Amino acid sequence: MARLAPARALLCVLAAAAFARTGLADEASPRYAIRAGKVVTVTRGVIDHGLLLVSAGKIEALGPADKVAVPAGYEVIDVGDRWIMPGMVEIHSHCGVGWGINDMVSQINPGMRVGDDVDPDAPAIPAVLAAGVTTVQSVPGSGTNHGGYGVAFKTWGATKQDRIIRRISIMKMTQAYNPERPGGDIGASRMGMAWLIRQYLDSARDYERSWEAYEQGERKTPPATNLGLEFSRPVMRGELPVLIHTYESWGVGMTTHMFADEYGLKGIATHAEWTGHNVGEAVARKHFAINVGPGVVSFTAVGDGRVHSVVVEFVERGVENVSVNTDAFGFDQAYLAGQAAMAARLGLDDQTALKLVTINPASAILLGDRLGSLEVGKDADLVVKKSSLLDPSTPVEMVFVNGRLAYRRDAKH
Amino acid sequence: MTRRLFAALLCALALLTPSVVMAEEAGAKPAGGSGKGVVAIQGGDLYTITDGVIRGGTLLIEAGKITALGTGLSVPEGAEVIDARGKVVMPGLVAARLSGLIRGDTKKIADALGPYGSTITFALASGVTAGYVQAGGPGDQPFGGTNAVVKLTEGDLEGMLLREPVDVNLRYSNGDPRSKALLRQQLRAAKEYLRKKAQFDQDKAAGKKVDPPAMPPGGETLTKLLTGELPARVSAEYSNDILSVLQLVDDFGIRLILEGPIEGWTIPEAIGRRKVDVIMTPRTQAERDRYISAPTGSSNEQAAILSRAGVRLAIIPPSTGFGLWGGFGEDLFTLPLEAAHAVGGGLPEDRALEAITINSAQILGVGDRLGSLQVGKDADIIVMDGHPLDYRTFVELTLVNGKVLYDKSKSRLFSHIRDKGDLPEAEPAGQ
Repeated sequence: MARLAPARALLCVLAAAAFARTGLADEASPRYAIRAGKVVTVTRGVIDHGLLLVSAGKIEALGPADKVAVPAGYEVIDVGDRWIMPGMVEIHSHCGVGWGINDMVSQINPGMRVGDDVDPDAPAIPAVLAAGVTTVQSVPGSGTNHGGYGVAFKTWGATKQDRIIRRISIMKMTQAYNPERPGGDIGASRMGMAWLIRQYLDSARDYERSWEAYEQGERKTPPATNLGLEFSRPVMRGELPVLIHTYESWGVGMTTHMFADEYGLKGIATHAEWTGHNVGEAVARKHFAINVGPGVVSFTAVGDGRVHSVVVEFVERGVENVSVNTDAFGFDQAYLAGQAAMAARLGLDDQTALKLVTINPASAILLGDRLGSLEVGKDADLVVKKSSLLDPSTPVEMVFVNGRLAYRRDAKH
Repeated sequence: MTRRLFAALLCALALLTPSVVMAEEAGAKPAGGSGKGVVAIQGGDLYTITDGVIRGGTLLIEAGKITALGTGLSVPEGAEVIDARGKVVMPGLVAARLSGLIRGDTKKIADALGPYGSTITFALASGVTAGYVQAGGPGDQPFGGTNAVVKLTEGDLEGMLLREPVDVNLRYSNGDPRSKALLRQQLRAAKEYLRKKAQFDQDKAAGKKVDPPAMPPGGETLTKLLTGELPARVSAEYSNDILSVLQLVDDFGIRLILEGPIEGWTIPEAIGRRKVDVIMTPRTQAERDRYISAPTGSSNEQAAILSRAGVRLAIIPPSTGFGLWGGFGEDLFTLPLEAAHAVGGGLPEDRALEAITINSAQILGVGDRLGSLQVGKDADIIVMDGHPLDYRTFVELTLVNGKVLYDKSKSRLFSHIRDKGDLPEAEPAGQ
C-alpha cells in the first residue's frame, strides 16, 4: 500500500466517500498534499520522504513523494523533515464528562449513556487535541457492576454532532474491585456480583433472541420493548464491544471466561494490572483485547523484585490487541503517549508501542476500519511532529481531524 | 555566575595537596605511580553540564572526588576501570524535592535518616543521587518544619546528610490572607529584633550595660531569611499568588525559591528581575480563564520562557517519590523525562540537563559539591545507555562518592529489560 497508482487511489476515494457516515465528505472539505520526512503508517511501516493526499476528510493516497502525483487543486503543505503519524485513540477515559460517571442506586444500570453527559467542549479538550489525541472514548465509572454505555468522539469539529463518532460505542461493565457493597443489598461479594452480571447478560441475550425471532418471522408478535435492554442489542450481536474493569489474575481470568466463553461477546479487559498478565495465554486464546492503565507497571503484586511492564507481559504472552489508557478525567488525557512511551522504555519495540495508542485501541472498539493508522480510505486524523508520538522532547506541531487542520502550534496565544 | 566560579575555585584550591591527582586535559600524565584506590570511567561521552560534552573522555576518581577528566588521560596502573565506551556519563541527578525518604514528622532530618530502603534503591536505579527532603510543610502555620539535602549513600549513614536546613518553607497565599498578615507581622518583628540586636552588640562592645533584646515569635527562623542565610521556599501557582510572594522579596530583601508555578510564564520579567529561583513541573496543565483576555492557565513553554528571562530553573516531575502502583513515567523514576517535556516546550537541551543537576544543586546550596562533572566535586556519577533525555534510556551504573551503588545488570529491578527495536521500513512497493 506504500505506492499507489492514481487510478487505484481514486477507487479508494470513492470507496471512502461511500462509507462516510457523517456529512464530512462534502465539497467544501479541503484537499491537501502533505509532504513529510517520514510517514509513519503504524500498520505498514515507515515511508521516508513520503506524501499523503487528503480529501473529503479521508486519506486518499500515500507513498514516497516521488511516486505520488499531486493532483491539481490540492494545497501543498511541506512539513520538511517532520514525521506524520495517525492521531492517537484513547478508549478508557472519563474526559469531557461534567457531572459524574456513576449513578449508584443499583448495581446494573443498562439505561445510562455517558454520551448524554459528555461535553466535547470541556476545557481540557483543546489540550488533548494539541497533544495529538484525536479520538476519545469516555465511559461510565466502575462504581457499579454495569455503569452504562460509553461514547466515542473526536477532539475537534465544528459541532458536537460532527465530533461524535458513536453516541453509544461500548458497554461498560465492572467485574469487581470497586462496586463491592458491604451491607444490605446483593453485590457485597464476588459471588453476588457475578450473579448480577450473569442475570443481566442472560436477559440481554434473551431480549436480543426474541427480537431476532420476530425480525426473522419466527414469531408473529413483537416482544415487549424494554428500554433498559435496548442498548445491549448491538453488543449481543457482536457489533459493539464490552469494556470490563478488572484486575489481577482472578479478575482477568473471570472476565475473559464470563464474557468470551459464556456469552461469546467481543470485549476488552481494562486495567488488567497487578497479576493480570499471569492469565495472558488464556486471554490470547480467547482473542480478548487488553487495555492497560492508568498503572502500567506491576511490582508489589508480582513480588519478584522486578519492575514489570504490564503491557510487555501481555504482548509476550501472545495477546494480539493490547492498548493503554489514561483513565483520565481532564488534562491528564493529554499524557496518553507517555503510557506507550513507558512500554517502549520497559522493553517493547517502538512499532508495537505506537500501536498501543493508535490501531490497537481503534480496532478494539471496532473502529479499526476508520481510525488508528495511515491507510487509504481512513479518516484523515493526522499528527505532525519532529519525532515519534512517544517522544515528549518534541512538540506536536499540527493536528488534522477529519481532514481539516484542527491545531497549529505556531498559531496559538 | 561569580558565585559558582568562586565555589569552583575554592574547591580546586582545597584539592591542591600532594595526595590528589590533578591531571590536565590533553594527555598529561597523572603524578604518582600507583592507581590503587583510583576509579577510572573510560571512553564515555562526558556530559559535564558546566563545560559541555567531552566525547570519548575519561574521568578519574579518588577518595570519593572527581580528580581529573578529559580526553587522552592515562589511567594509573592498578586503577579500577569502568568501560563506558558508547555510554553517556553525567553527574548524578539532584532532585529539588524527594518524597518518601523519611516517615512522619521530625525536628531534625538527621534523626530520621536510615541508609537502606526502597526509596534509596529506586533513586539510585533512576540516577538520583541526592535530593531535598522536607519534614512537614507549613500546613496552616506561616512556616514549616526542617528540611535537608540528603545524599543517597546506600549503606553509609555518615555520608547521608549534606546540609540541614536548606531553606524555610513559607505559606504565603492570597487564599489565606490572615496567614499572610501574620507572617508579615512576624517578619517585621524579626527585622526590628535584628536592628535592636545590632544596637545591643554595638553598645555591649562599647562597654555599656544593656539588656539583650527579646527574640520575637518565629524570630530564630525568620532572622535567617532576613540576613540572607537561608532562602524562602514558597509554593505559588497562579500569577496573583506569585506576584504576592514577590512582594516579600521587595519588602524584606529575602532570597526566594518559587515552587510549582503554573502562570509564571505570564510574568517572566517580574520573576527574573528579582533573581528568584524556580522549581517547576513542565508538563503541568491547567485551564485558562476563558473570561479574561490576558494570558492565563498553563503553557508548556513556561520553562523556556522563564529560562530566557534569566531564571535559574530546577525541574521536578508531577510526583516526587517513586511509585509502582501507577503513574510510572510521572515521578522520580524518570526525572530526565520531565526535563524532556521542557525541551518539548522549547527549552534548549543543555538548559534542561542543568535543571536536573547543577541548578537544583545550587538552589539547594550544594552547588560546590554536586551537579556537574568538575575536578574537586563529589564523584556522584551515572553511566547511561543513551541520550539522557530519551524515553528509552536507562541508567546502567550509579556511583556515589566514587562507589558503585547500582548496577543495572546485577540489580533485579530492571536487568530483564533488553534493547528495543526502532521503527521498521515500509513494506515493498505494491504491498
